[in-house]
Amino acid sequence: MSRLYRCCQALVRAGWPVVGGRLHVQGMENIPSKGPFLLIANHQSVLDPILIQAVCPRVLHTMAKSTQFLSPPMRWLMARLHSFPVRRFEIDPQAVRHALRRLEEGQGVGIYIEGERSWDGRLQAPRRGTVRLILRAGVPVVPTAIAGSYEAWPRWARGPRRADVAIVFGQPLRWPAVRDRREREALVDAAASQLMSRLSDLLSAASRLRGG
Amino acid sequence: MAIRDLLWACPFCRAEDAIRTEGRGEVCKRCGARFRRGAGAEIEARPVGGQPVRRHAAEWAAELPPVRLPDETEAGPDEREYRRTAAVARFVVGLAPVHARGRYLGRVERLGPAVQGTLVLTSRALTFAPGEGQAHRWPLEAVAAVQPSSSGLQLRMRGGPVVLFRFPDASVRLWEETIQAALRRLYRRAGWGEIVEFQPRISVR
Repeated sequence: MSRLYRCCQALVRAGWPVVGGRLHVQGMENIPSKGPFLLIANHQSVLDPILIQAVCPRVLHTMAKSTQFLSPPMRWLMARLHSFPVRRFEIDPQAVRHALRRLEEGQGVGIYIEGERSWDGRLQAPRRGTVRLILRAGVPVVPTAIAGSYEAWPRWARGPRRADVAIVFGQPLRWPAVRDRREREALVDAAASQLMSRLSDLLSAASRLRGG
Repeated sequence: MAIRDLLWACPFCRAEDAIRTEGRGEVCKRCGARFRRGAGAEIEARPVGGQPVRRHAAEWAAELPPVRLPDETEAGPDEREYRRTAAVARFVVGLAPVHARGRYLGRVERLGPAVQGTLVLTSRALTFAPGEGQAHRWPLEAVAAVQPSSSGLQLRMRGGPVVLFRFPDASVRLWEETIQAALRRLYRRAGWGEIVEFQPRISVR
């Protein structure tokens, strides 16, 4: 974990209660202490990656949309916070390769399965490409729900406001690595359904945790 | 981003694409209802002469009617206009590599200059007419991906450019849904199947 990453984590953890609100975290024990894992979360707000990375006990290599890397300062910062770009308007094999390589190295990779922030705060349909990646990787999948960040900074709002946020890390789910492409394709719908059902339950738990 | 990006139709008069930014809030140009952010993710709406109504954004959004395209007969020979608005386009002119600590992370878009113009969606094509110069016209079947971005809509054309459109007055979400509805209609009529995803590329079942 780089010094910059640790500094940012400490800054967010100390600063959020001051500028944001309470930050409830549950299920930290579900993050594997070693070895590869995929953290699959819902996406309500631009604050999600900041807050999840701040509380996750292990470094997360987070897939982020390529347009966040357009300005040189953001490109510098994002890259050093272990984010890597994905071009969303076409299949981006390098983003998949990067994720798989980090997993092969025994690291954690974070992906927002809806692929974009929710307009109304509700859970959206999963991106099939992410489910394919899960089935290809065959590593523990930690479903993670964040609630309250939509209240802090919804997609349609111009700026953030104070709100309590809760993050719940669920028990890891496991799918074996499926090498055959056709076989993998046949499993996509069932895996997506299982994962989204789990995320929905966790989102309800997170909402309760923040008192919503 | 603005409230009109979520509420692309006025909840009171049902006028589409009529909410505009005014001062610190937004106002429906048709009925005069005013909108502003309330507590958390609440939107406070005040109809003309009425009391303010505060509801969570999801409740307002749930009341929106589905985006509908004008009816057309199967054999209609005319090209029909679905939607038109002022837009700012930025074309992707290349890709730039991103490295960190000597490690190659991937490539990101390099955007060309912002070009102001008018975006028109018809039953057959998407046309961007810049203030100066020649218009770009893409048949709908050339659209390969539709991707909303932070404050705009990113479109990829088959064998053509990737363009990021921003809408100074219109709702990003309404444009996204209208283009998607037009593509669904095209694919259905052509017998190409039901579209299940619009990004990273249009895929059908």
